[in-house]
Amino acid sequence: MTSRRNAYLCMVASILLSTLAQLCMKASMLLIAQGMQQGGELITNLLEPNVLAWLFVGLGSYALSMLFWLFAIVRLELSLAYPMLSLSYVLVYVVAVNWPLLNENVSWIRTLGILVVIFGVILIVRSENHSLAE
Amino acid sequence: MSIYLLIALALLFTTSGQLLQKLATSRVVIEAGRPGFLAQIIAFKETYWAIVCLASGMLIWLVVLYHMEVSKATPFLSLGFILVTLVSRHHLGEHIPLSRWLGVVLITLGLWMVSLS
Repeated sequence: MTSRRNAYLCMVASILLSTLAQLCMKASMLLIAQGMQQGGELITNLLEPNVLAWLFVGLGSYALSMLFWLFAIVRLELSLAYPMLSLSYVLVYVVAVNWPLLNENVSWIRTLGILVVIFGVILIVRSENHSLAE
Repeated sequence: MSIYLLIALALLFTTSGQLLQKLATSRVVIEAGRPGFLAQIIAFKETYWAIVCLASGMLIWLVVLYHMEVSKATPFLSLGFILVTLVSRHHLGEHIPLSRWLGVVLITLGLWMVSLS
């Protein structure tokens, strides 16, 4: 039982890290695009310390999230674990619409979509409890 | 080449990569005297094929995104959740309760809604 709980903790770590990775990579690409609009070369913008910092954190958290993912699927069924990764899209959306740097547009249909995804994940997690009870 | 063929290939590679990753982890045996988890997993050929498939899937996906708007392409990517569930059932022998199918369909539908801007 404890190992299953650890597998779920690994899932949470994997989801959080992949969210962080996507946001950092998006932020670095935005900074590069902004620099190029001001007339800078691609390579000089890429080598800016703050761009490199975002990229480094982004790629590092991506690698770590894959590691935690492996530890999670040792214990969990693939059909149970994989759909949970969609929570990362939910987190990315929540940050993307609230973080001024990304400044993505909010709409009621997108917010409703997020709620539908969360409801889907709840059904997935509950489907495990159901199969344990059988 | 048709863009839809590329999308199908990206989905195929990504799904196969997930299946191979799961097959690799299921070969790991944790017991005293055996090498650690990572030391075992890097020795399996499934791991290498998984990396090849996931990397190919990602590259093809980047080509798709180059030709297509992200918001139009994302709903196709969310079909991957349905494919991985099918593969888990047919190739890993996992039992998929009805509520799990319903969850997968809702996730796919929800991600499609999020992609509408």
